[in-house]
Amino acid sequence: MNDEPIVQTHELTKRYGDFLALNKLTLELHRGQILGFIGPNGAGKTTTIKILVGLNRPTAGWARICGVDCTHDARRIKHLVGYMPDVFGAYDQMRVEEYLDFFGAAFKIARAERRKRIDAVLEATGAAYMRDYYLESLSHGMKQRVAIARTLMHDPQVLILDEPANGLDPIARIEMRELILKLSAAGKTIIVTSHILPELARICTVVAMMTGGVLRAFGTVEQIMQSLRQQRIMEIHALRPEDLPAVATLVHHHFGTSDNLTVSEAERIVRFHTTRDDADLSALLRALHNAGLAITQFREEPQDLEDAFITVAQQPAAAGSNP
Amino acid sequence: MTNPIIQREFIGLLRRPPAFLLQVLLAALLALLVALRWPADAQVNLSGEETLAVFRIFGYGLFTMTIAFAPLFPAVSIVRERQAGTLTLLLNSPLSPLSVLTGKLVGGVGYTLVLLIMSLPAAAACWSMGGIAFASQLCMLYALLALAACQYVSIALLISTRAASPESAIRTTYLLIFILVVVVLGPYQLKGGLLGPAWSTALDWLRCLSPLPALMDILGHSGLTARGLQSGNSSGFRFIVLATATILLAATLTWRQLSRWLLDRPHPRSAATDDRAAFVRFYRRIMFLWFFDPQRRSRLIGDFTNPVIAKEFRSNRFGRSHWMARLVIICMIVSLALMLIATRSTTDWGADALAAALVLLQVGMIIFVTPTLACGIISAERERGGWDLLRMTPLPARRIITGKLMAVGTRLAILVVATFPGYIAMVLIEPAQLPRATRVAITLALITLFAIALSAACSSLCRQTIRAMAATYGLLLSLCLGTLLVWFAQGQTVSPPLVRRALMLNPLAACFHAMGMSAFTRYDLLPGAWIFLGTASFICFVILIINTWRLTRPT
Repeated sequence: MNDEPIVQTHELTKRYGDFLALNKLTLELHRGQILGFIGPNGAGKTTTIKILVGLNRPTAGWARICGVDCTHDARRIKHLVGYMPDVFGAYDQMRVEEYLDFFGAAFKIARAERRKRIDAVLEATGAAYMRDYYLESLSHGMKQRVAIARTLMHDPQVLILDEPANGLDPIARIEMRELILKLSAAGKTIIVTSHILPELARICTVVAMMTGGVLRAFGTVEQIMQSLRQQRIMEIHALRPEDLPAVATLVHHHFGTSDNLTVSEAERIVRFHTTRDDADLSALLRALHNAGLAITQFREEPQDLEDAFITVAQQPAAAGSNP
Repeated sequence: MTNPIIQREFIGLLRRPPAFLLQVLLAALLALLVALRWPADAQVNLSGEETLAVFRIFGYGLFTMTIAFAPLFPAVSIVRERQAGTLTLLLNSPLSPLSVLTGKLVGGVGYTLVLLIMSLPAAAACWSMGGIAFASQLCMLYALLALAACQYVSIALLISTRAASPESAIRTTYLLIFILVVVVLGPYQLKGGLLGPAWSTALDWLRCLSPLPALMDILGHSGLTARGLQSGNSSGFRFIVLATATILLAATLTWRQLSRWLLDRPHPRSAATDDRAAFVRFYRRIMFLWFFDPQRRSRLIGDFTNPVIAKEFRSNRFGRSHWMARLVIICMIVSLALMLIATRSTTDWGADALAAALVLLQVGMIIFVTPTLACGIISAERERGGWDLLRMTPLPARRIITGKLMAVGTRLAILVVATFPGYIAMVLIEPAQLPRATRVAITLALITLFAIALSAACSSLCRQTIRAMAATYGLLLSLCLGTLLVWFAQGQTVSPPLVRRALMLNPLAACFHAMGMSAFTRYDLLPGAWIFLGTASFICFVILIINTWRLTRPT
């Protein structure tokens, strides 16, 4: 992997009057990486994307793609970036091939070359059979494929896909995931936003979590999970239900808090949240053993990207900062 | 109100700022009309001529307003609900299709009635000046306008159930209303002495589909659209019968659409002739002369072609070759037919009437078609998300706008030129008519330019195409029909210089003048009208350029 960053932002800030849409966003992305942009509505994802593609102007800071400034050299940026917004942008009475032909011509691809490109992008997106379909007759999943084909027409180095899996059925979602991975393998740098977090966790090499215009976490999925380990969810399985109160008391006594401590008699589990490290947990396990309680399992509940995002989203804004 | 649709359609409409603005404007205009004509010396002209002149402006003005505004909101009402998905919710609610229809009908008619009611104080003032009969003129005028409003609203709702988009709904509705108001008068006027009494009666009934003959009876202009004894004062009764039948028919069809088929629409066919069997391919290429085959696979855009022009032609139904061919052929046939009638002298029509028909055809077509082609050039892109996609291409704003304007201009030029065979025939028969034909051609070119510029400027100012269309049609109708009201009142009520100044703003009057129609040649309208059209177009283009620049730069 080339060390030269393909996408770079530095203290990127966007303000609309008094409203701070984006606050000092700094991140880097390398060739072939897939960045998952995660955040609730109004987090600043679309603002960031629009600055990257040259549609919006930052209030402060800068953004570069392949070393080209996104604000001052928007014309070159258009050749470097393929942008798929969350709205399809269909034209009535137009066939898929005519639609792609128009965008190819708009990017000044010569006619002979354009024919090959149309064939190639339709093939790559699995949309070759839709060539003669009218745009208004396409289903949502078909439109998503055609939209990706459109972004690939001018063979951009960076693809920015806003909610590509939105509204797709499970099979179409799997196909979309495979398509994105295929494009990444072909050397495209991809930025994807999505509300379907497990989907992102499967394909993204790096993840950026944003809330309120602030980047709250950035890194690989594993790095983010590691950094969020301060808040771990532990489970203690007891052999006998009558031991559960004693287990709970001991946990409370050991960690000095009853916050987020729950006892499930049906499952014979005591569950609690903690920020203590492995040494403290080991001491607790030893204490349980010494107290003669029959423990069958003492384990940390695995967390996924969704849990991590909820943890990040629940942290106060001041706590978040750019890495 | 128990029907929630009425609540939403009617009360919701009244709450909209444009609806409020329209009411204020109407009230102000009517107050101004009364204030201008109210006798200052406490004396009333007993002959009633002055009052009748004001009453005519008043009547025709209200009629124009009814045509312009009654169908506007109902035309988009159902199609927009279908696009937004709220129609599915409505039809799945306990509300029956009949309740939905009633709600929309009452809501649509209700707003026009509010506007008519607002004109009552001015009507009362008019009546108190004397010279107007209360029952046979004043009350009849309002009854006729209310019935016409019901007719147009029911037709607009029917179109709205069948149209694919709000723009198409508006286009079709106004075309149908134009046919119902103006075109149905034509066959009766052209029949001459060629047809038997049964046909003559049938055409007289057809003529009464338009409220104009009845309106003219009420306003004391009955001679203008009638011919002979058989079309006396029965036009009012015939209009009532025909309008009621139209309302019932349109409402029934709308109800059936709402009940059964509205959400069950087939997708357009995706077959391409190129992929079909050799025989079918051969047959279609012969039958459609290859170029006009709607299922022909398009060639890729040329390397030196502005891609926006190609896109505009392909993404608009009237840009497709087979549709253009149909329109061109219709224009050519109508134009030649009018000139054929003139040259063969088979009717007792004068040259003025034929010239008026031809000019009406051309100006009407320009004014009707241009907004449907040009009002969406920016607003439709913004509505559908295409504007950002265009901004993401390396195409400069100048090339985008030039491409769009050229696509509109080319299509209009083809259509306007298609109406010229009539003039060519005229010049060939009488070469001395060449200067007249040239003047008309220049005027038509300027009207086309102005209509494009105005539509494009409105498109750049409005976020929604429907608003851009409403604004453009409103302005064009105000110029063409509004200023014509001043011409109606010439003589006792309005002085000739004022009539001249008003007509100079009227593209239709400029064309009538260029054509040499005697009613308009008495005013010196050219080149004043050309200067006005040129200047107005320039201003509109400046607005378009500024707005396009604003919309394409990073925000």
